[in-house]
Amino acid sequence: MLTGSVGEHGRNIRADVVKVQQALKSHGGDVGAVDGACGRQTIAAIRAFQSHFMSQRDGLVEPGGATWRRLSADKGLHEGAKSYTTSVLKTSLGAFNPGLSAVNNKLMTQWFGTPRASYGVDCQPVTNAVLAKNMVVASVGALHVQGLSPAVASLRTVVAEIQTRYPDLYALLGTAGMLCCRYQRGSSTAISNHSWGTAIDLKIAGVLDTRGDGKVQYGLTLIAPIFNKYGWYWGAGFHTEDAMHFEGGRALTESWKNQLV
Amino acid sequence: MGVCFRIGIAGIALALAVLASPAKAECRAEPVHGWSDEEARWVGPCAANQADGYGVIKQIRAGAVQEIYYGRVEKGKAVLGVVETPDGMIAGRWSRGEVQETSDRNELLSAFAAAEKAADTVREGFARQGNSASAQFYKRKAQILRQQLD
Repeated sequence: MLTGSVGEHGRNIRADVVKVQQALKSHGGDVGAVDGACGRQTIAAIRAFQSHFMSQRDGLVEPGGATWRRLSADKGLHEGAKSYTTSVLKTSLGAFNPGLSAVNNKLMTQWFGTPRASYGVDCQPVTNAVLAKNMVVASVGALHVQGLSPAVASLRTVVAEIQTRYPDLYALLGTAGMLCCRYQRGSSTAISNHSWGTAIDLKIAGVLDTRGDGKVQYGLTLIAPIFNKYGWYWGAGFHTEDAMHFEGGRALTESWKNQLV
Repeated sequence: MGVCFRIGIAGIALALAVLASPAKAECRAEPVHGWSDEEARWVGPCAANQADGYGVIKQIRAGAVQEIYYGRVEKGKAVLGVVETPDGMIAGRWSRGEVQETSDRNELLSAFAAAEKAADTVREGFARQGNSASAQFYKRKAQILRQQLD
């Protein structure tokens, strides 16, 4: 379902543009990268599609309008079909995190020490000298991150494979942060797993998967096996589902402690 | 003067309760995230006939809530908060109805904190009115928003 119009003089909300681009592409349209940006190529593809049934092509796809009805019917996406941000039930997924287990505060402290002496509700800098020396700021594909050096290196491998296997999805990936030293929300003892720079939260088309609702964005179900392949644990497996969250699994994270300088 | 209206379920439900708005009818909030002007309904404090403070802007289409903005609004404009959509949440600073894309986690935390405060403010308003169903709905929303980022 579109929430706003897409195309010439349209509202062009990113998630809607993605849906239209995906639909155009499934109909053989030349939209270039599915990136959520409505540029000249997307508008040209809309006009080209409209040429099959409209004498006055306006280059605009409106919710419920003739162009969207045709785009979302037939061989293309249909209403309710899986765009990358569409939620699917976690219970409908097969096995994930095979052979992997999550880390916890105790293990992380044992392997890496405490990132800081004190914590608050906001992200604060790492003060542990060894950890601080091993934090890097890097562009990993389209993701701009700050994290523990070996974790960022591993993330680079994961993201490269996502780019190869799902280039459209890769173009939509964003991050809600990697390193963040703080207490878990509502706690004055438990530290966020982001405090060591070994976890990352991802967005698809700017949308964060809602934590704890038992549903996960379809796009996350596609990339989770890639993260798993390289030893990353998917937060969908937590007691409270957190599907936008990925972190080094226990074995992988333990291997990182020996890579610190 | 309170305004009563009924909301329903559209696709993935955003609301289940019948909500009574404590906002004044003439209190205007600008739409966000591509909504049309007519779709935006404000629940929260008002100043000079404009939404102002912590509250929610609901997108009402065909009598049903589609999306909800939780957060701070200044002079009718969303500035910091979260839009809940059927696909998930869009968080950050807002300008001219659009989110300013960021990967800054502190900024995202601020947006969720503002959203939680907004949900709690609305909850208080409904609780004062004796509307326990709506108060409970926003209590649950405040909890979800508080726990979104670990």
